[in-house]
Amino acid sequence: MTKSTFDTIIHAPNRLQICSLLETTKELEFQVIKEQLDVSDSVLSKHLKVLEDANYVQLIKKTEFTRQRTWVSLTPNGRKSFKLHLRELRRIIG
Amino acid sequence: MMNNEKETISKEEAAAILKSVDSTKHDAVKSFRMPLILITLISLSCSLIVFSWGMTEHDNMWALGMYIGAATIAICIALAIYTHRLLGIKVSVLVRTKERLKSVLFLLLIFAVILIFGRQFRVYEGFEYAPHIAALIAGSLVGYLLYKYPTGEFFKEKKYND
Repeated sequence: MTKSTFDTIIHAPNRLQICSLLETTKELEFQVIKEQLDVSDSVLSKHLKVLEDANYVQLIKKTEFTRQRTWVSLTPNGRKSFKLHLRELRRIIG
Repeated sequence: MMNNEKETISKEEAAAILKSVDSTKHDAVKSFRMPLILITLISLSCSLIVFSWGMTEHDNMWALGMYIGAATIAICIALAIYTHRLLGIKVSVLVRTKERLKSVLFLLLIFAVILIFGRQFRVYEGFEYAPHIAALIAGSLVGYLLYKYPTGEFFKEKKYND
């Protein structure tokens, strides 16, 4: 069994919420995450950039029905790290 | 490495964080729910499949009910996926998590039992209403699960809601 780890990248409140949202689906559009978190475009972009740099999320820009859409998904690494982070929090609670 | 730094947080903080994660997931799952009309159609189709299987004989047309039910379910699922996609949500169709695998296996087992019950009791025990009861159970179960657990994961780890 992989050891649980406290992940400071994921631990930031907005990033934790982003990971929680993404964990429930395959991909979410940028706008959907923005609405769920109730944050501005720039704030969300900043947090996604941090997660993307850590290889926790993947951003794919696609044009669908003449509309540019940015799809965000958790990478396998991000999914695993998020689970380990939650496991660590549960361990702290005992 | 930044992500391996050890931080110290209190039990209360950890519990509050887990509670907020649960709440975020709960809200998200609610917004990912299929439209009620599709849930109803899928439930009715499941009932139709179970009932038709229970009533099928060589000299009747009930087998057609199974095909109609299966086709309706396929169309409803395709519609739900398409609607979600338009709304900016790509639902995971494949079984990728352990929780989802457990849920799928559990559902398959339950449905196998319901299907067998519906047919065997009518054919071998002479209980005429077995397909009716089996169809009712199957439809209600599917409707409840689709409404309550839209992501298909009803075996979850412990919740932290105080």
